[in-house]
Amino acid sequence: MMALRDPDIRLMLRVRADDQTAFAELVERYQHRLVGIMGHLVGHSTEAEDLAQEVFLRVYRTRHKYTPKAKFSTWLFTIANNLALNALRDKRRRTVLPLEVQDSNFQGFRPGETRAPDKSAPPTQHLQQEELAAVVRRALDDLNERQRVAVVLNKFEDMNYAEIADVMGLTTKGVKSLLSRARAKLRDALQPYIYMDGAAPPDAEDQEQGEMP
Amino acid sequence: MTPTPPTDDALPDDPELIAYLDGELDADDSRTVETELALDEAVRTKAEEYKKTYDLLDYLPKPEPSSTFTTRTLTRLQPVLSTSSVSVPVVSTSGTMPARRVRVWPELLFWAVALAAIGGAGFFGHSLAEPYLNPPPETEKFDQADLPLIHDLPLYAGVDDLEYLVKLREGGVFEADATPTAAVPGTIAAAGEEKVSLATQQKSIAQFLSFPPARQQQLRTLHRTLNELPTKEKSSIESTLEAYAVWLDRLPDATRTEILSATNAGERFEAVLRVRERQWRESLPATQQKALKSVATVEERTQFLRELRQREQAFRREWELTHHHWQPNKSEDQKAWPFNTPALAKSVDEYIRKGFGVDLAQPIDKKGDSAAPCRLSKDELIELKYRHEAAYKEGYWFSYGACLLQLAEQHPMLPEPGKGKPLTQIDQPPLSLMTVRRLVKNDGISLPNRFKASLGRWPDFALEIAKLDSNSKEKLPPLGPCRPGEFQDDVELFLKEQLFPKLGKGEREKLDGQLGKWPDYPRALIDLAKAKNLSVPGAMLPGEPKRWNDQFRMTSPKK
Repeated sequence: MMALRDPDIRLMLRVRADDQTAFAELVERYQHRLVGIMGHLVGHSTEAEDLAQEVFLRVYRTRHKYTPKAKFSTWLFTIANNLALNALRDKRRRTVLPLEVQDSNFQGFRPGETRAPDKSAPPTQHLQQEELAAVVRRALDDLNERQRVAVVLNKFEDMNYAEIADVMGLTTKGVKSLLSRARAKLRDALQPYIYMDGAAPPDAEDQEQGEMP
Repeated sequence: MTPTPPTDDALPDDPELIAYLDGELDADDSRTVETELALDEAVRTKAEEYKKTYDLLDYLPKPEPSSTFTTRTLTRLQPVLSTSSVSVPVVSTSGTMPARRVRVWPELLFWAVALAAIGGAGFFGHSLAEPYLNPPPETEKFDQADLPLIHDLPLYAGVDDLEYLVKLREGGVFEADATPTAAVPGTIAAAGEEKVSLATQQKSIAQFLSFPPARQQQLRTLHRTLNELPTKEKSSIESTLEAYAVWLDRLPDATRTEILSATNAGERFEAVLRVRERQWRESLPATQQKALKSVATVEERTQFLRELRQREQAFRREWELTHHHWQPNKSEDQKAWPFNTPALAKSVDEYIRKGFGVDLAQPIDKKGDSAAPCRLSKDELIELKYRHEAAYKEGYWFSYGACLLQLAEQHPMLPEPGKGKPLTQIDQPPLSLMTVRRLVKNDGISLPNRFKASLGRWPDFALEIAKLDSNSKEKLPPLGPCRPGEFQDDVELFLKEQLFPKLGKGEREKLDGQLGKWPDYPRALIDLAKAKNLSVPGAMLPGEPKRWNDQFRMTSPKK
């Protein structure tokens, strides 16, 4: 069966049988992916480590209930998804008020609207990498929690729609519409920055035709 | 002029276009989108923007776990482990359970002493529930010199004297409970200073004063003799003491009484062994419980249990070893073998270069098909690079060694020929395009695609051809060196001076039986070398194979 061909499932079966070495191996093997994913979701490295650690502890606590059905990583990311969604919701509840005050450059702007000033005056020089990262971070943070999870799994874990659906407990169709809305929002937020990372826009020559010798 | 206005027209989403970009559409739907793309420039621009904005996400810094992540996670596991291994409900303060061996037990364990006092068992019998029913006795009566002892009082419940503790340690009764992390030097000293609340101290004082003078004296002697021990011995005994105290603390009341009510140290020791044995049997997995029930005679039963125990001990040793190795070791002299010997470490790097086809100095090609033929998959390559870096930068030698061992097993190497290039190409003698075409069934796949995974790689390509050849009438000449004289100089020397002299007559005859056969002969060489704990140069990881196994194999002995 597929189960035993997946080395991670074999490893998890050893964890289920209370093999502590196997658990240590599992942590070693998945820590980078989990911390990476959590970091992209919450945008904060300490928080990401805490969450990743929580995922591993939950794996350990529920090890006896584990049955090898799907790919192991799907099961692991399902746990990660639940924890991350909870954490993100908590975070939003805790920070929604201060954010409105702090993040608005202009009186009366709601958080979703704070990007407008950036867009109306797109930077003319190449943005520094960190600045660009901050802009991208903000665009990602403006997605709702589920959109963010779907994007992060799709972009950074290379998961296809069916895998994301498994992890998030949705239909493939649901994932398709979730991702398309997320991508539309990202495009809306990041479109002015596309050519700010150093690459020339494809129509640059057309635009500057008159001035070129 | 200006790029597409970025605002409102962007917000209606395009599920089909995006699914197309993600490669999620079937052929029919893909064609529909492709037609749109071909006809409509606006759609093309939009697609480009979707792609580029998604690419911008690559600017996000990728968080990496800190170097202590695994250790910290495993440390946090310790409370989980100990609560799950015992079927007893745990004290409600489990949230404050320190994961390391630190001296915060007194507060946690206070209730154990109190309970024993209320239960009126053993040497606590006289005290009754006095401290709880009456206001605390006049604590001024107590001698300040006893304060350090009182601080540790909760640890001493159920302990008669130092000999008792030594007996517990020598018997290895609580070996399994002592956490490997506890062995990390410095934790005790660092944690020794925490404050015990005044209320707790008051209670402990009251507790102590409620003991009969004989027990008070016994405790003073215990505390004094324990603290007079040499540091190393003291910390070893303390680790047993703490494991014992925590264990006692978690026992159901009735069981705890069974131990506390023993009238002397000897009886108490017997009671501890009895309860431990009972717990151990109850904790066995269902299958083993069942197997145990099916054993008929007492002798068989004893034998069965003994074997189980032995296996468990072996497993524990391995766990400790693993855990020990998992700790990063930064100092030069603590590098693990073989990396601590410059010559050997260099040969390992050489093996990585030739045996795996990996140049660790080169960045990983993101596209996955670099020019140099690498024998590892992209994931394996990333893993290897990461382990290598973690070892040399952070001291994670164990995982690096384990990774190398695993890769070497997944991609076994064979000695290269002494003359000429090893066979890695379709048109290289003794092969020719024609011969290979004859070997391959005509399935419409082009030859370079057919051998994509092995082309350019030794011995993968030759092995694939040899396999096809064995199923055909072609009968090609040997595809690699398969008799002495055909290998490279270092291998020839190794055979002559190291391997052959060690072979018995039978072994030599068996080996000679494979002469002229490839890959059988070199494989037989490698098997024999393994059996003699030798490493064939360039074809096996450098250094004794047994040592690689002992140090880096991660399988548990229970199979």
